[in-house]
Amino acid sequence: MRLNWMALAAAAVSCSSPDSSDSPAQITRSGTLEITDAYAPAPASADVGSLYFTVINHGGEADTLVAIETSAGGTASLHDMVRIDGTMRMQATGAVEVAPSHTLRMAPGGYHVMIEHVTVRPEVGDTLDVIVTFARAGQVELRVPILTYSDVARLLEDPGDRRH
Amino acid sequence: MANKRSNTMMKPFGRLSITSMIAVIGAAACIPDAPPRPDELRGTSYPAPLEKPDFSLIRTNGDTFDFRAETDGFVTLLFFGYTHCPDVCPIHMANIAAVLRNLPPDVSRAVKVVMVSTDPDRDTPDRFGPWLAQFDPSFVGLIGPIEEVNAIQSRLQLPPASKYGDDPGSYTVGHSARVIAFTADNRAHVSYPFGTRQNDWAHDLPLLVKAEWETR
Ligand SMILES: [Cu+2]
Repeated sequence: MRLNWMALAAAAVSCSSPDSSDSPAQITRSGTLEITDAYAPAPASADVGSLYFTVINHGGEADTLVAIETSAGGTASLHDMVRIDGTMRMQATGAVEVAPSHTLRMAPGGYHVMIEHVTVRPEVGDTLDVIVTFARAGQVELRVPILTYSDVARLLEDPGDRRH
Repeated sequence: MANKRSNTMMKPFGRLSITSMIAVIGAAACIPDAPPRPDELRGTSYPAPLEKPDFSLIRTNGDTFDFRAETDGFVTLLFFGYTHCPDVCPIHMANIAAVLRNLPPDVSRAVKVVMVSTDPDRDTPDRFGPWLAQFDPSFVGLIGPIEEVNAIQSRLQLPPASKYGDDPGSYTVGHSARVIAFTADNRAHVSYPFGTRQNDWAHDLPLLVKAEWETR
């Protein structure tokens, strides 16, 4: 349901794991962290892009996402979406903690990695190389498929109420 | 079809919707092409329909676009956003474009999509035009002074856009993420929040196109 979806996307951490059964997402493990549902839309402009992934912490200790680097160049930082008075506005979050048995889910309208000042604009079919740095787990490398915005939206929409 | 989601979506207007639903159900029984009932649509119903606003802004191709005249008779999806937005704005546009590509031509031809920039300082015609055209070359991009854009939004019960930060390279713009759907009667009975999915658009657009709305 939509409200769950919004809540999932907006909450820092939630306890549900995403249903990736019909998505081609790779699963990357590093220690007790699992990273799934990593997708990036081909940027709609030459300079601004985004990237989404989900971090599941299976361990007994919290870990913190502290930095992101991508092969698109420029700067990459975690953003979330603030809803005030009927508007939506993205803002940088800084480091974000993923508590034990919790999930940090990025999805349109919620958390996303914002890539600014892109120097290498990826196209559909390309792969984005991403290095995510965690305080405990260290650096995790991801190879993220570049899809259309439309496909990213379909893959990351509310997993609890998929109709087709 | 009443379902969990449409009930959820109507929550903000729950009380009013139930009242208007009862009224419309009565009418629907005797008029064959009656407008869809609020509970048949996945968008959010307005308690009272919005009048289509009368305004003119400049298109990315340099032409003046008289909104009321140019969209007369069409289902018109109106959205306010900006091109430095990597999430909400391209997702909305891409979702609508993908659905229009897959709908029967008699439906998709009856739909116009108009996006007004909430960031006229950075959204030059050269930037905004190709940005919008990559989703669908028929989409109309409009640019005007932010005061004018916010005045139009206020007439449509939308909050004004506001700028956060000063650095021209990285300021962000807070804006409504709602798409307003005007129908052939030149009123909006329904709007679509962010989170509206492709199957929601695919469900509602044919209903909005085919319904014969009461003309006054
Ligand atoms: Cu952002």
